[in-house]
Amino acid sequence: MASVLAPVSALRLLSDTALAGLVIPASRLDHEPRRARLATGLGVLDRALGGGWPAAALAELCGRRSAGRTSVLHATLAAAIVREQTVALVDAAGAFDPRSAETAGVMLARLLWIRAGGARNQALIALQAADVLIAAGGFGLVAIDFGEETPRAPTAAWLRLRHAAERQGTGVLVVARGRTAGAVAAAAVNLHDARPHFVAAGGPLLASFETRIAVERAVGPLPAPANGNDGDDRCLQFRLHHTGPSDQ
Amino acid sequence: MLRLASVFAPRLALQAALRRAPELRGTPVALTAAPVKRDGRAGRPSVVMVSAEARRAGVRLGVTAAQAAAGCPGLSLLPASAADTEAAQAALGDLGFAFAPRIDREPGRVFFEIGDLGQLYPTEAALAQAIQARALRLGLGVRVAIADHKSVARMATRAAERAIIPPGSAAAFLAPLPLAVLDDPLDADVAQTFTRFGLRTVGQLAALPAAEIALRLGAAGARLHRLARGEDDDPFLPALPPDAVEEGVALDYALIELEPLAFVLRGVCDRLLARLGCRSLACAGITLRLQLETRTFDVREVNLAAPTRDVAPILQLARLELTRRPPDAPIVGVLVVARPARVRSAQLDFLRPTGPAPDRLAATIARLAAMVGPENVGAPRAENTWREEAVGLSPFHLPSSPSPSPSPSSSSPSSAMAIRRFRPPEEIEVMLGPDGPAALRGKTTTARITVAAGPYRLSGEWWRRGDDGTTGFSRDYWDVHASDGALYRLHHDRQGDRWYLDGYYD
Repeated sequence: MASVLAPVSALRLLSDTALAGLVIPASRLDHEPRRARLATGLGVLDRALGGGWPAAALAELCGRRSAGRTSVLHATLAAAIVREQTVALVDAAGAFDPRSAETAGVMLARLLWIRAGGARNQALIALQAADVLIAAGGFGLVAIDFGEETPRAPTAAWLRLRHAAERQGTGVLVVARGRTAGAVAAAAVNLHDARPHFVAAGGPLLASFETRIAVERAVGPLPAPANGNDGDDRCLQFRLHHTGPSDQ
Repeated sequence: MLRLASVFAPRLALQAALRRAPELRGTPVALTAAPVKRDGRAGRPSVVMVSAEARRAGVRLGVTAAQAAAGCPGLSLLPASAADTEAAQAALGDLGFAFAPRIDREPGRVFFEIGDLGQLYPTEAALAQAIQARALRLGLGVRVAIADHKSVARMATRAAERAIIPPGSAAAFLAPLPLAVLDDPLDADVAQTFTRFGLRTVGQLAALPAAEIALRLGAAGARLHRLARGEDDDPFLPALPPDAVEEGVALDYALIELEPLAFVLRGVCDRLLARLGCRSLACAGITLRLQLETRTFDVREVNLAAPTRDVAPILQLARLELTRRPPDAPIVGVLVVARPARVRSAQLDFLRPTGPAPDRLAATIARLAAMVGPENVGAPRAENTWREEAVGLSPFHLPSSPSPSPSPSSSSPSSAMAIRRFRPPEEIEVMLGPDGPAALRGKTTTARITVAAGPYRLSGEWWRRGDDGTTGFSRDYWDVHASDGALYRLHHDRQGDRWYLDGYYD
């Protein structure tokens, strides 16, 4: 047992002493070639992720109700469509709203929408549908929206998706309430602390809301946090404006 | 000069039966048919056709099925079926359309012009070999002959598995062949006369004077004499391909459960897709015609989201359809009619990312439709209505032109707020305060409302009458911030005086 602990103790000693600045965790080593990125079109989020979601990899977007996941999803879909990529959305929750997606810039005719909502085992069907889509090849982005659920799929299922995504060059974005793919995901973002803004115009009027981004997992070196916070929770902000049904 | 290929499938009825039992190829097989008696009842089934293996094992034509089985222990008896033979004949036609746009059909045989195929195949022998290989994929063993004339090519297929008759050498090719190749079957009286004359080969007949033959044997003899000299007055009558492709099977016993029916359907669909593949076509949908034990038919339409050559999504959709509405009686026959369609082709763009291949995308969409239902796969469409929850689906196609809108600025600090819908809207109870909703309670949500913005009134569709007798809709919408942190959108139905949760901003 002592022989096992020895290297750990040595590392701890190094990190606790003046040599701490010279010790770089292996996960932060910049030994990988620069990955292609799928920009979301949201500058704050793209900077936080080092350019966008990692291409040809699996990424997770989490948050509770009204945390802003769907707005980020729509922005990501819109940006991918503008890049001429073929895009699919597997809607396990059946909650996709085409009008607000169109307002966010999603060209609906260029989005392949698969509604799995209402099925008995909708999470499993959604995963199978995503697997079929990725295996077809040629898709730039496949998003799986689990909505309020945090699907409990076996790690093998996520590994299968990740390997297929790497092989076909497809970005996979999993939207769920909590993290579910674990270490299989190349990037994970958690949205939290959403705050709505109402303006008074003869009564309260919903105008926008703010949410905060916590990058919980990422590939490659990330830019330093703009507000000086340390740690993985980068506490970056971005704002979403309401351009709702009155504009339709 | 016109060059024609004749493709002949010998013992077509037997080959047709073996197409649905391919595992029996190479084994002793006998085709049986039951003669109909004068009183209308079926007689004992007797052997009407045998495979080469069965013939070697001693099975003879005309014996009863029981006698044949007793004489040859490993013999497989297959009932003759007109539907099988028709399907095999149609498959033979599709084989012709795989090589030429126009074909001429005869029972068990097709002709087609090979004119430009010389650019694809180095020699006519290679072409004949390719035709036989393609026929094997359709479950048919064929003989191929290529000649200047229909009659010569027809006679050559009776003499050899593969025959290439060079231009102008028909008479020389036919000369050593026996007289039996002139017709199938050669008239017995004529054959006897030829024997009396001491004629054994086609060349001997061709050497006789035509007028003398016509004088002694009449018009039939004159025709045979012209054939023997390689002279042909049989025109090539081209026909267009049929609009639909059919395959059917008459079952030996009635099927009640879905699994064995799916097994039968798989074989039928495999054969259909192979025939469509011959014509470089895909399947856009099938019509399933089930013959029931009650002497009625159950007809189903199975539509595909996109044309495909993959059998799996077709089968899955057919199974879904049959599971949703099982047949009323046991099934004794299956006929599948496929709707042919061209697979969409696309030109790759040098400057744009490569999307999925059109045929793979079509197969993928069909598979997805089989998983979640065809009504749940496509491109979303915002309906032209003020009802916020209205949504439609259009068929998804790969874009053929670049995106018209400019790229969103990556430095944009904000984006449009999205809403997630509850479908259908969830009915809730709302407690009202002086400024609007003060609390809400539903199946999944119970919360106090901290801020309520609204109401925003939406009404319309007064020209439509609902199931409950109301016309149109009239709603007061509210955007509320609830104590659980969520931003809900809810509405009050003014006609029914009920509250609904439409969704939440996210």
